[in-house]
This record gives sequence, structure tokens and C-alpha cells, in this order.
Amino acid sequence: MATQSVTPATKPTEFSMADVWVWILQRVTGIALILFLGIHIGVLHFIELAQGIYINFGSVHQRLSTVLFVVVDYSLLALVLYHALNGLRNVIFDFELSDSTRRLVNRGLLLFGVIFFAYGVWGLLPLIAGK
Amino acid sequence: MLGLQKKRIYLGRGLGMWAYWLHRLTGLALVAYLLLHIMVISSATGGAQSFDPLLATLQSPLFVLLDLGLLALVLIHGLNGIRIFLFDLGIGIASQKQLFTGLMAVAVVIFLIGTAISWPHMFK
Repeated sequence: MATQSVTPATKPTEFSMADVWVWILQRVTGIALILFLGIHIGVLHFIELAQGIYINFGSVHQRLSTVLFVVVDYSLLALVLYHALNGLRNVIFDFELSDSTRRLVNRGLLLFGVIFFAYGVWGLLPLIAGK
Repeated sequence: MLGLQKKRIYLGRGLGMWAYWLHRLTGLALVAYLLLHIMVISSATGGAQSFDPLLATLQSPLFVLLDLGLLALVLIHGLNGIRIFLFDLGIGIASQKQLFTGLMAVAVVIFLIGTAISWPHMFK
């Protein structure tokens, strides 16, 4: 009796432990962002706005004279860049791509993220220094 | 040629499908906003003389209105994100529609509070 070979309709999804950690981190950053972004948007856009405080160089410098806010802002930058670019990667990977294209997307987004993190760190320095 | 993997992509029907697509679309819009936001704040490297006029424009009535659009995007994405996280823990999958409706009701309440605060700043 000939054994019938069963061909799956689609290739089973292959993933590595690295993929699992990337996925878990998307959840962790997502939950952290609810807290951090809630404070960020709540304080800057609504509590200060309700008090008639407008954002300018001086007001941001004053807020960033507290070390806590520097830590919060830089943490937020890292969290949100990871979450945003990995989220973009999830959307891109809904399309049928070759392994080499996937590698290119991974490396491209990683490089883009590192550059934008450095850019964001650099951009906030004058506001911390106040000049 | 790029093609959607029809067998793997979620093409369901009903409220769950709307939740899924809203999450993706708001996510993509927020990525675009984030990059612009980082560039705007980095204008501080040009000192107060480049930062202040730009920030003044971005706090004009039109942009206060646009900020409400941003608030809506963040609320939809963030609150539905809680729903997705609960599913990962195995919580609430059976009542996913009620969960979505409930969270979006929370979004509407927070949005209305944000609108009330912004209102005077949209007409000055």
C-alpha cells in the first residue's frame, strides 16, 4: 500500500527563541507605554493646557531640570521606538516576503531605530542644558 | 511581487475584525506621528529661536484640534492593546466583543474629557 504524502497548504510558521523574545518585548513595552504615555500626554497636553501653560524652550527646560523627567523622557523614547518599529515590522511581515527580504527589513528597522534613538537623545540635550 | 498571505492574514467578519484593523491602522498612523514628533522636539538643537516659534504654531487652535485626533488614535490603540494583552493571558477571549465595546466606551469618556479641556484653546 502506497503511503500518501500529505502536503500542508502553507509552510508551518517557523520561529526562533529570538522571535519569541521580540514578541514578549512588544507586550512589555506596550503595557509600559500605557503608563508612561498616559503620564506624558496627560501632563503635557492636558493638565498643563488646562492651567494655560504653553510649551516653550523655557518650560520644557524647567520640567527637565528634574532628573526623574529626564529618565522618564529617555525611557519613553526607547520604549516607543521599539514598540513602533517592531509594530511596523509585524505589519510588513503580513506580506509574503523572502527570507533575504525579511533579514533586510530586520536590519533596516534596527538601524533606523538606533539612528532615531541617537537623534532623539541628541535633540533633547539642549532642553536639558537650557541652552 | 508583494501579496497578502490570504491563508494567514486575518480576514474575519464582525467587531473583532474592526478591532484588528483599527489597531493596525492607528498603529501605522502613530509611527508616522512619532517620527515627526521626535524631529519637532529635536529642533531644540537650534536653540529657543527655532524651537519656540515652531512650538507656538503647533499649539495654535488648528493643532489643538489635531491633537484631539492624536488622542483618539492613542486611546483606540492603547485600550485595544490592553484587550490583546488580556487575550495573551487567556482572559476574556470568549467575551472579546463586549470587552472591545467596554474599552471603546472608556476611550470615548477620556476623549470627551480631553475635548472639554482643549475646547477653550481651539477658539482663541
